[in-house]
Amino acid sequence: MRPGEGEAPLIASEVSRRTVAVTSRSGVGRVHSVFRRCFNVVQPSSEWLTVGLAPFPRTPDGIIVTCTRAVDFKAEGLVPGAAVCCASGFLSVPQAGLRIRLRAARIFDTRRTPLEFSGARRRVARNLVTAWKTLDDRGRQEGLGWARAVLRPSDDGTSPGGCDYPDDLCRRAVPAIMALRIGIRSNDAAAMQRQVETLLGLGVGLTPSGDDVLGGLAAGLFLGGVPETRNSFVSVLREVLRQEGRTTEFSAHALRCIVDGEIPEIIHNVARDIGEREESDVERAMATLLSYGSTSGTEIALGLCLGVGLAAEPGRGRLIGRGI
Amino acid sequence: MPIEYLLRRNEYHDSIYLMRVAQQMGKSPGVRRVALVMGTPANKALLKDMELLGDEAASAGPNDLLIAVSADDDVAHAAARTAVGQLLSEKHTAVAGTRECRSLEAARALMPGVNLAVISLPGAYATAEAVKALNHGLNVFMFSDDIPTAEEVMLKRLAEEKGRLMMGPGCGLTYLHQTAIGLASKVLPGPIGLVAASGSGLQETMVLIDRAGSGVSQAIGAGGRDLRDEVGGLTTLQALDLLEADPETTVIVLISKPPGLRTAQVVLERIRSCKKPVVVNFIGGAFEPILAAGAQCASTFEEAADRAVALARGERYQPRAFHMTETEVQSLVARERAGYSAGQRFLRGIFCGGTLAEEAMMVMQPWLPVIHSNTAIQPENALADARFSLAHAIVDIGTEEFTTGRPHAAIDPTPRLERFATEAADPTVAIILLDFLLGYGCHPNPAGIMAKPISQAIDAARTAGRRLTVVASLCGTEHDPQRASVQRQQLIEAGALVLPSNAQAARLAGMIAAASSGRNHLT
Repeated sequence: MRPGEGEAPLIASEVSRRTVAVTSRSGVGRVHSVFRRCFNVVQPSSEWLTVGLAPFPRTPDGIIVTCTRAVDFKAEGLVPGAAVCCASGFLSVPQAGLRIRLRAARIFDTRRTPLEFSGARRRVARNLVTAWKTLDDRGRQEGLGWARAVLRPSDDGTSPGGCDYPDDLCRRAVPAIMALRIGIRSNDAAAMQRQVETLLGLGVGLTPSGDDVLGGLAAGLFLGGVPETRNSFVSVLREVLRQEGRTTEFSAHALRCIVDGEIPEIIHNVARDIGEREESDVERAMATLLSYGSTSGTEIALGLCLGVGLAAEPGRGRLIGRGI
Repeated sequence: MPIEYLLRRNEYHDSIYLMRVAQQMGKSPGVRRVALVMGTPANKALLKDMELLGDEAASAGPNDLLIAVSADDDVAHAAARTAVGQLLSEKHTAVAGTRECRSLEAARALMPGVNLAVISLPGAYATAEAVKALNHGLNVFMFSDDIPTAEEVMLKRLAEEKGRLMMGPGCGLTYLHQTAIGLASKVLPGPIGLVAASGSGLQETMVLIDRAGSGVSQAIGAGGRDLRDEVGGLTTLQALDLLEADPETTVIVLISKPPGLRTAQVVLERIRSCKKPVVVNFIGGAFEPILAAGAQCASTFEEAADRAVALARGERYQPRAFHMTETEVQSLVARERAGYSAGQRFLRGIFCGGTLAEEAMMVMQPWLPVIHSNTAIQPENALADARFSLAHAIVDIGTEEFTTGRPHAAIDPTPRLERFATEAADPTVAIILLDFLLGYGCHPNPAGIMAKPISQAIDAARTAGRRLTVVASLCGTEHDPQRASVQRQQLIEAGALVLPSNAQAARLAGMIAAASSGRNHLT
């Protein structure tokens, strides 16, 4: 079957650095999962591609498509398991008659370096309050969204704790997140591993709620300038991710990208704005992150605020990871 | 409160939607609690908290949607099942835009680029549809097998005339442009092209090529009768032309039961003139004509795969009997043999893959010269009634006497479950040999279905003072929906010995059986 006969191809406006390498090799993958505005593809080599309709976040494996007609990937006949071909500058799903032209797309890069928070402690503290408030005001209540009120630090830096949980997911996850925060502060690898194992794969959806929180937390610590040599959280997470079958394949891959410093733009921008910009910028960046996915945006934001907060705690920036 | 589980493999929905489905199901009369989660260990722990975890949830993997329902009674469970089916499929059909057509013409109008028709109909209708498809310029993959030979020849000649491929009748699988069709596994792309008149033989060879780290360009199923003299190898010859011309293919593998004499001459002559190296496995056929045609000859699917991979890499083929050392094999044989009671001496094989059953019998011949079967190599060893085993026996439960009116055994495990229970309860049986076919179209969890019966049978034998050895091989890859490693783990946990190929499994089972019945080992 020749791909996309009779159909005008969609045009990719932007592609990530990593997808250039994947799509430049002729080969065939499979549609893994399909949503209205994006679909995921897995290659036999275990590489992934995420095709999203603009506006779509710049993710490590992202291909962003602009189109002049209304497109709903679920209505395009895309089904999990359908063959996806990469050849001659096109990505195509013959079964669905879908073709995407990749040539001439702009290339973006999601490799990140830690941000410098140490010279702007007051700004970071103020912007973190704004980030938590935005999360509180605009975050979703479902999934682990409820937990933001419990995990948000009070004025004295502690969390309220002790409460009636609304459901079993929160009852299991929230104490684990609290214990994980303590484990990170004391750089207790065994404690961190216990909680990471509790959270990884916990919840519903393609990226379970626990994974989204862990991803946000890892990104927050990394971008907040806490290297693996000082705190072993990222190493612990990387190690647990090596254990097959703890979470969905897609989510494990997305988390591996984060622990390797490949962080989606919408997450990076929140951390950057907390460290470098004004409150209004933080609000905007947070709003963008919160609108991502269904509950994922809220849960990633929750983890990110916790991670950046840990990296920026007065005194903790230096002490974190020294076994205090 | 009884809990029921529904498993939807590799199915993803957004989280809010799943929560709403759970809420809606929870409102059904008699339903107490509902959870829809991915089957990760963390979520199983969550289900335990919710008092919704039971043994049946164990087979769910992290990429499976696991639905747990606690309800008052069967009526409430049935209502919940219907509700979840409707809720999840409503969404699917509402937004996925499934394309359904009632005729080939309508399908072609909807998808002008389509060039393959898959036909799986009762034989009486299949030929007519295949003629239509070929006349529309489509290649045909025909799963249906109840087709007279004369009609098969007519279809293959028509295909030749139209410059199209007629794969089948009775074609179990084919793998074109990295698309698994029929009961096929997903394998890595690579330089090896295959043509086969044997479904499970093709599958096993593809899988072993993938496991060896190489890959498949195209794998063309020709249908089980293609190399008989009545058909004359029409599809095989076309496929050899295609693979020779295919720039992605550097090595060709041909698999078939021993062909008819006239057909063998024609096919081997074609191989002699082929510009690419060819490996041939005529499953028990003579070696000399193959070698005389300049091809490499393989006696097992594993050898065919290994030879093809070596050729593709420009390396020398290294024969191997086992992935273990000789000492490990001997100690395994001694360990199993030591546990058998005085009356235990027979091996029983229950196979889903017909050609795998035949390969197993050939591999075991040095140790067990007489093996009874419903697909016996020697007619004198044929089972009078396939429902009853005799001494050492191998049963292919993919044959008509087991599948009439029901799906193939690779899809519906019921006949094998029943047969396994019978064989395991027989006090003269020491070893049971099983194959497991994975891939698109096969049962979603074949090892999971067998795991409990295997562990129960092993325990029951132990209680009765016997030892039951279950030897298994898995024909599938990590890229399959069932995941070979997940399937393997379930079998190992159930107590089975899992070998990396059908040939190795048969070899080990034969050695143990020979040892248990007092015959000398041949190694």
